[in-house]
Amino acid sequence: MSNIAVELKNVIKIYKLAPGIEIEALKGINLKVNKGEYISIMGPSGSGKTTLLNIIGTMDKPTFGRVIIDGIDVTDMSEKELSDFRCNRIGYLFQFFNLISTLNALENVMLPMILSGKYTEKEAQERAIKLLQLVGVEEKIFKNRPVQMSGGERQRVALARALANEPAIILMDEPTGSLDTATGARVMKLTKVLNEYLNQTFIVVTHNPSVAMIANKMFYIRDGRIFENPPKELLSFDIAMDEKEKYSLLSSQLKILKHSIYLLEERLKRGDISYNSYNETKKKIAEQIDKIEIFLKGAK
Amino acid sequence: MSLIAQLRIIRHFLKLSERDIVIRKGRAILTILGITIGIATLVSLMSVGLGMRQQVEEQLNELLGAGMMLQGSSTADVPEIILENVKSINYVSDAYPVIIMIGQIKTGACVFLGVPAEQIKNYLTGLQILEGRGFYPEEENVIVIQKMVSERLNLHPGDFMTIDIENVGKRTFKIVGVFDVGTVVVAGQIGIIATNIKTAQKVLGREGYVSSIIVRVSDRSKVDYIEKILKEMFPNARITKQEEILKRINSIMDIINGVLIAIASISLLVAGLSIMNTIMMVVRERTREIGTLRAIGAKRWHVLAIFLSEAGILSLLGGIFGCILGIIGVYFIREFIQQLIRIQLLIVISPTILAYGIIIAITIGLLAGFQPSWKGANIRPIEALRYE
Repeated sequence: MSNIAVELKNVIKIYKLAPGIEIEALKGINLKVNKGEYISIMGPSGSGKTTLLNIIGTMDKPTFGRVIIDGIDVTDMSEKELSDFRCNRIGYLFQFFNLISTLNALENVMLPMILSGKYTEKEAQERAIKLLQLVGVEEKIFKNRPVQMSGGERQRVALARALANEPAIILMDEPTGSLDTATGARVMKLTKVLNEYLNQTFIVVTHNPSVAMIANKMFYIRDGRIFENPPKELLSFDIAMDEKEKYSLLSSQLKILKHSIYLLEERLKRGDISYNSYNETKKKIAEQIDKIEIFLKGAK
Repeated sequence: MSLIAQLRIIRHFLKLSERDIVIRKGRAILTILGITIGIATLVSLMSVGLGMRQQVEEQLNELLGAGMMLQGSSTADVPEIILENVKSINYVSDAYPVIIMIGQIKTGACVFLGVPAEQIKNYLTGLQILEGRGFYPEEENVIVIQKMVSERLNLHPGDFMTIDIENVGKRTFKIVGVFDVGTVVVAGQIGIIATNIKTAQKVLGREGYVSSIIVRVSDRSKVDYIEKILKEMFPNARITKQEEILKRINSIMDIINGVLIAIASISLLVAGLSIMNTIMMVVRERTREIGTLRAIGAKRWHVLAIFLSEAGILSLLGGIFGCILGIIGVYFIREFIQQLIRIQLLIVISPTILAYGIIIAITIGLLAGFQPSWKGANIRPIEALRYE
């Protein structure tokens, strides 16, 4: 049995939005995660981190490349095989908890076990109780539906559900995104303990550095590429604007201001505004126009 | 996966659907109401149709037994004398003459009937004398009138009444009794006025002749044999067997039933649309849950099963309530018809109709729920997860 939980080989994901319009969300990702590791993938929104997580979680398929989870190449599996695969080997934790609203805490945790077909109703229930106790959910909450629980409780129940079928890996997408700092920290600590003492593999994607830090290995994702060290441009945002860009922007702005004066005159003709307020507003706009014209003359 | 495991999954899904129905009570009640009304319409109209058919059959049976009617070619051209010949045929239990004429009274058309005094109860099934008496065998120029005629013209025993008889002209008779019948066969809204057969013959100027002879047969299996003998004896006569009349009435009943079912179908269509709409809304509301379910390993058919079970539960409840309301509805329809045209409908609550009601409800529910459920089951999991 290999010791590798997740292996991505040159994974490329291209989304076709419309004929001729394509977005390359992942640009050749190579990643290896060993069993029992806790890794984080950090990146801003739109960097491709959720796409990457969905591909690892077999919810989405790569356009090119291979995906090997728990030693099994899942790239060419059918939809039905993937459902079974997810059921038995992958646990999910979402930002918005994604509990089934009509089921109570206990039933939510039982659901993956029932779907797996491995447990009877009674066995699933017994195991669900143990899992809820493990993640620290109080017994009085067992029969509560998600709307009757706090955010922290919901995420704990979701964690118990993720653990239900002893998955090879647990994938977390911004798990603290909907929690306050203290509650988020408690949930993350819980995952850390489960990782250390149960040797459960965790992969967390986040844009929150303090969540990412909990991992024993950090990756950075930016524009569909993955890095082991923080890429420079990830830390600072280039706000300098070149002169040409500025010139074109202000020229457009000048046109808009001149049009505003024209509209103002029209309103005066119609009698919508008084002469005084016309003068007042016109003066303000004229000041802005002067300022822009000075810059534009200088730039020439 | 074993069958038991699959059943366990379905049971879990039923719980899911059941909760969704309980949580979103208002919407569920409206949807169920839609189906309830549809099924109630179907059940009550089908029951009315069945009741009507049975009632007609029963009355026809009382009238002719397993018998037949022998007629000539015009109003009264069957010689009365053949009656004895007919009676002498084996297996003929009884035979009597009838003359049927159309008359005009102040309120409109009426049936003017000539029948032997001792046979009037056989001919007008369910006859009851309400006022006065019936006419005696040899009594002439006296009539009994139906209750509705008596009420509308305010005529009672002892009064005289003028009838304008077709092809004959105006004649005046003395009323001796008022009766009513529980029948829909002989006359619906036109009233019946009956007199002794002798009077009818004299009015027509056709003494010794009648319009038809009713032949009652004691043994059902000998009907064809008797028909054959009658045909040999009277080659020019028209012979109509009870079963032929029944067949004709049944074909009319089929048309009536068809119309009733068509009416019910419209409400069933509306019921189907209401289920479709509800399931569409449920799928939309729970799109994210579909994504979650797929993420934790649910297959497409699982998702399909969740929504279809919701459609199934809603329509089953609608079907049950519809049957109950339908039964109540039948009594209302009977009351309504009685007020309107003074006919007492027979009510038949058949278990078959109720079973149909529930089966049709579930079928409509599943058919209408299928499209949105299928759509829900086929949303790509990641798109479902992203759905706001």
